Amino acid sequence: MISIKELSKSYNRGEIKAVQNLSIEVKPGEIFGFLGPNGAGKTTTIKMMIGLLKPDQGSVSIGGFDIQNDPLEVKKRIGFVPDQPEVYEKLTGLEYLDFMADTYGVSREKRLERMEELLEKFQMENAVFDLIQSYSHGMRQKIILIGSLLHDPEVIIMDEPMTGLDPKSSHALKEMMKRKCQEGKIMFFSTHVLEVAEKFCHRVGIINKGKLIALGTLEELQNQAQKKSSLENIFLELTE
Amino acid sequence: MRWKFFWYLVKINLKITFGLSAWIYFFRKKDRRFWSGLGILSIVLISIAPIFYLYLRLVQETIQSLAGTGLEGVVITSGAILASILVLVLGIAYVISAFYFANDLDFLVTLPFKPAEIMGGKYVGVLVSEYLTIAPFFIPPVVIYGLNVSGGLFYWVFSLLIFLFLPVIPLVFASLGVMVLMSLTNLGRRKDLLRFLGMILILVIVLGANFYLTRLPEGQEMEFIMGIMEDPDGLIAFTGRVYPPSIWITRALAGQTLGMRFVNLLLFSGVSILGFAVLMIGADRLFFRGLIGGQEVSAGKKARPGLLDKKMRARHPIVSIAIREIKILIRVPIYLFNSIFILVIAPIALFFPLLMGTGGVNIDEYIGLVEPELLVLGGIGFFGLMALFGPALSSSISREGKLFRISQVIPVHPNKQILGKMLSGFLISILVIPLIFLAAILYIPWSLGEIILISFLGFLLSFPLMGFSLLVDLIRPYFTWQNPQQAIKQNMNVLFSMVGGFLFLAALGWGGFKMLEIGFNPGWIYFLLGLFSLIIGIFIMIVLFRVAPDRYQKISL
Repeated sequence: MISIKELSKSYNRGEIKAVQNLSIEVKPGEIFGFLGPNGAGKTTTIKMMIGLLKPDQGSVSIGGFDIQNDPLEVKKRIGFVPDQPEVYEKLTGLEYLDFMADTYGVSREKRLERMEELLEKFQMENAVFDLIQSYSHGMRQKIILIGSLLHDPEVIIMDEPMTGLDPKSSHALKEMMKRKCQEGKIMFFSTHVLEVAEKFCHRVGIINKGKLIALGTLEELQNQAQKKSSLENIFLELTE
Repeated sequence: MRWKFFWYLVKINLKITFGLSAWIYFFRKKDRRFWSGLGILSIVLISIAPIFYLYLRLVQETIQSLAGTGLEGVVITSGAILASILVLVLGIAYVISAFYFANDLDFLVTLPFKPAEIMGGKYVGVLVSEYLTIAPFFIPPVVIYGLNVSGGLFYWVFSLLIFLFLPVIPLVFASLGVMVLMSLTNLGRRKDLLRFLGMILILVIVLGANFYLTRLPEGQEMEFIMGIMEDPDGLIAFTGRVYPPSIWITRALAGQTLGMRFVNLLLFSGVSILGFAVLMIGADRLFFRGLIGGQEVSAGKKARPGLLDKKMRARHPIVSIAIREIKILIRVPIYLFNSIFILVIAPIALFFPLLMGTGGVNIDEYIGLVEPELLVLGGIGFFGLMALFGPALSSSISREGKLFRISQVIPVHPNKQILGKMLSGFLISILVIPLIFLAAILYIPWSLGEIILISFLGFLLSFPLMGFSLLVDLIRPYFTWQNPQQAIKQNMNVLFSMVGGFLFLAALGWGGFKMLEIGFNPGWIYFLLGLFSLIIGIFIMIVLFRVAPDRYQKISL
C-alpha cells in the first residue's frame, strides 16, 4: 500500500509552496491517476515518494516502509519511470537492463524470462543490442520502462509514462497496467492524457498549486462537480 | 559572418560557460551558493599559491642570472611558449567538447545562425577560459621582466595586447585540427573511437614536434650551446623554434627599439586576426559536416535466437557499478581522453628519446648514479602520480550529471555504490603496470621482484589518493555542466584532488628519501609506506561511508 500523509514541500525559504498537506492512500490492485496542470506539484510529490526529495513535513510509506527511514526497503519494492527518458546513452539497451537487474538482485533465469517477455511486448527485442544513444525518444522511454519492471515491483510509479510512446507501445503499457493490477500490484502515475486516466484509473487525484483539490473515482468526482460531465470538464472546472 | 549575431552568441556562451546568470541570481537572492562559490575560489587560489610562489622565484632568479647578457627576454619567450602549448594541448579536448558535444547544439543548429556564427560564439567562450589557464604562466614573466627593466608605458600597453592575443593562434590551430578530425570521422558506429584516436594523434604530433625542435644536435652539444649563448638573439631564436610567434612576442616586449617592438606587435596581432578569419571561413564549410548527420541510428536488425541469453551478464551490484563506470568512461571520447590519456601518452613519451636521440645525454649513466632503492620509491611514486592524474574518481559523481537520479533510486546502499566506484578506479590503475614494465625494459633496470613490489605498493598508495578524490567529488559534486569537458575541466574537485594528492605524495616521498638518507633498511621503508597508505586509505573509506548515505539522500537535482 502507498500511504502519503500530510506531505509538504516548499522552495525559496518557504516562498514557493510546491506541495501542501497532501494525503493519499492507494491500495493493492489499484490504478491511481495523479492529475494536475503544469507546475501543480505532481513531479515534486513523485520525487518525494521515491526518495529523490526530502519533504519538509509529512511522510510517505510504501509496503509498510517509510521512505525516509528505510529508503532501501522502499526502493526494492518500487519501479520508477521518470518524465524525461534520460538514461546512460553510452550503454547498450541490454547493458542497461543488466545493470538494473543487478542492482535489484534479479536472478539470471528470472531476468531472461522477464526480458524476453517485455522486450517482445514493447518491440525492443532487436534494438536492445544497440547503444542507447541511437534510440529514439520513445525507444528510450521503453527501455526505462522495461528496466523498471524487471524486478516485478509491488508498486510502479510513473511520471507521464505515455509521452513519446507509439500507439502500439502505449496499448502494451495499458495492457500491462491492467494485468499488474489484477496481480495485486499498485500503479501510480501522473498524466496529462485525461482520456487514459478516465478509462484506466480506479481513482484519480487532482492537484493544483500544491494542494489536492479532488480525490476519488470518476463517479465521485462527477458528483463533486457542478454538472455531470467528462473528466476533462471536471479538470478544467476545478483547476480554473 | 553577421557580427550582430556573433556577439549575441558570444554573450550567451559566456553566460553559460561561466554560469554568470546563476551567480547574479544567487547574489541577488542572497543564496549561500554565492558565498560558498567564492569560498571555493579562495581555497583554490590559496592551495596553488605555494607552487605559484616557486614559479615567481624561478622567473626572478632566471632574470637576475641573465642580467647584463641581453638574454633576459628569454623568460618572456619561455612564458609565451609554455602558455601557447598549454592552450594547444588542453584546447583540443576543450574545443571538441564545446564545439561538438555541448548540450545546446541541437537547439542552436535549428536557429537561423550561420555555422561560423555558432562556432565563433563557442570559440570566444573557450578563449576566455584559456585566459584563466595562461594567466599564471604568462603574466609573471612579463610583469617581473617589466619591473626589472623598468618598462615604460608602451611596454605595459603592449603586454596587455599580447596577453589578449596570446591564446588566439594556438586555439585556431586546435580548432582547425578538431574541425577536420570531426568532419572526417563523422562516420557512425566507430566514430567515438576514431575521434579518440584522432585526438591522441594530434597530441603525439604536437609533443613529438616539440621534442624534435628543442633537441640539441647529437655530438656537438657544447658547441651549439656556446653558439647560441654568444648571440643575444640566438637563445631566443632557439627557444622560439617550438613556436615562432613567441619570438615576435619577445621582440614586441623586449626589442631594442620602439619601432622594432611596434612592428612585431603588429605582426603578432595581425597573424592572430588572420588566423581567426581563416577559422571562420573554414567553419562555414566544415563545422556542420562534423556536427550534423553521421548519428548512429538503432539498426534494429533481427537478432539471432538465443543472443539475449548469450549476451546477458548477471553480476554483483558492486561489480555492476564498477563496470558501468568503466564502460561510460571509455565510451565518451572526452572522458577517455582526460582520464586515461596520461596512461596512453606516457609510454609514447617514453619512446621519444629512443626515436629522436637524447641530445648526448646518457640516460643509463644517469640512472646508474641513483640508488636502486630510490628508483623503486620513484616507481611507486610514479604509480601514485598516474592514479592522481587520471581524474576518473575525482569527477566520478559529477560525471553522472542528471543521471545521478538513477544512482539515488536504485536499491543499492550508497556505501556499496562507493565501493563500486573505488573498484573501477583500481581496475583502471592496472593499466599503470605495463608502463612500469615498459620503463623497466627501456631505461630502469628493475628486477621482476622490484616490478611486483612497485605494483603492489603502487596500488596501496593509490588507495588513499583515489578515496580522497572520490570524497572531494562526493561532498560537492558539479552537476550543472553543459558539455563533458566541463564536467572534468571546470570541476574544481579535480584540481583539489590533484593538489591534495600531490601534497600527500610529496610528503611521503620526502619521508622515504629522508629515511633512506639516515640509513633505514629499505625493506622497512617499503613496509611503512604500504602500512601508512593502507591506514590512511581505510580512514578515508570510513569518512566516505559516513558521508555517502547523507549525500545520496540530500543531493537534489
